[in-house]
Amino acid sequence: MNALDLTTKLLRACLQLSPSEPLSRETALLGGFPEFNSLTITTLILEIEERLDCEIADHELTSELFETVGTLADFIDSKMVHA
Amino acid sequence: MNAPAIETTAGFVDPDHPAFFLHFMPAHTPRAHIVYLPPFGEEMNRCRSLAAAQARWFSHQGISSAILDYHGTGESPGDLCSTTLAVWRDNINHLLEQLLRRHHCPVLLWGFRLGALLAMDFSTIRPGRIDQLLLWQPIVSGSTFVTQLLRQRTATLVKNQEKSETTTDMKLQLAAGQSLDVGGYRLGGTLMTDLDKLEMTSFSQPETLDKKLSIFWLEHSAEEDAGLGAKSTRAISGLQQKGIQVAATTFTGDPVWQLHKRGNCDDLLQKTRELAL
Repeated sequence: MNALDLTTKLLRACLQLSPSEPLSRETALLGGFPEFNSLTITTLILEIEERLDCEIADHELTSELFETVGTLADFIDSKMVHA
Repeated sequence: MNAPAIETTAGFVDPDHPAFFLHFMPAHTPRAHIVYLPPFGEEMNRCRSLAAAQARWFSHQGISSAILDYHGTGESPGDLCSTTLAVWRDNINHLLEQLLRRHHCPVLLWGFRLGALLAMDFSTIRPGRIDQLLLWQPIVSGSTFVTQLLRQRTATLVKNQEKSETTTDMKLQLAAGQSLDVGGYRLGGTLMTDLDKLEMTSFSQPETLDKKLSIFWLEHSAEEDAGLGAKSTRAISGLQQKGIQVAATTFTGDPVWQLHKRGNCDDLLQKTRELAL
């Protein structure tokens, strides 16, 4: 599974989005979904760590990371390389 | 045919630090007691109805089942910020004593998320008291758990584009006895520092113990045929090396402890019902 597919899969699960809900690299996350709150961010980070058996450091958590599906997918891709 | 009647009672245990419990008693003499130890914070609320459904099912199978709200959480009185792990251990102990006074029979602890780590902790500090553990989606590391909890504060700051604090800094503040607001909860330094020290693999049981602990471990998987996660696999292997029997399986369905909207997880209930409890 590539990083974008994994990202959309995790987002659909965490936000309980239906398969018909469109998600592309440009889809905004922060401000884009009312459910995208601190708890969702925490859950997403946990899921990424579990799935890729990696650790995410505090300094890696920035608002830029959660701007769009694409910025999150790029981050996941960098973690997949090291997994 | 109607299911046999069960007796439902609610009350409080532990006069020093009252904790609410809900007890489902089978119509006939119970063959075991099972005590549910819930997750922490928002996860506790999200999992309540799933746990209550399973507790009722247990009681219909002849197992006396009780749901506990730790002091300072859920329906229990008290201040979460000033409670401690020792208080929660006392809550569990008081509830077990009350159940055993009514009927002496084997005891199981059933922990969900943080409750699983607390179940393991209790069975270690009271060796021989617990016969079996049923662990649902266990948290294997208290330190990781506290970090993830504190990340919610980091995430709030990130979301509001405010200056971020590191979880290490926050842990230092907690260790110094300060409290922190995280996700709508005021967390006390003592409890968080206590929880930070719990590790599933650091638990053990005395070699001389006649009654060896056995564990049923159920873990969520997004796909039907996926195995256990890497962290759980390592934890289970560590426990097995200490002579603790662990039977692990995965379940699919909604990860109800994570969801904003109410979800269903029939596979978890079904797989639990197939266990030889």
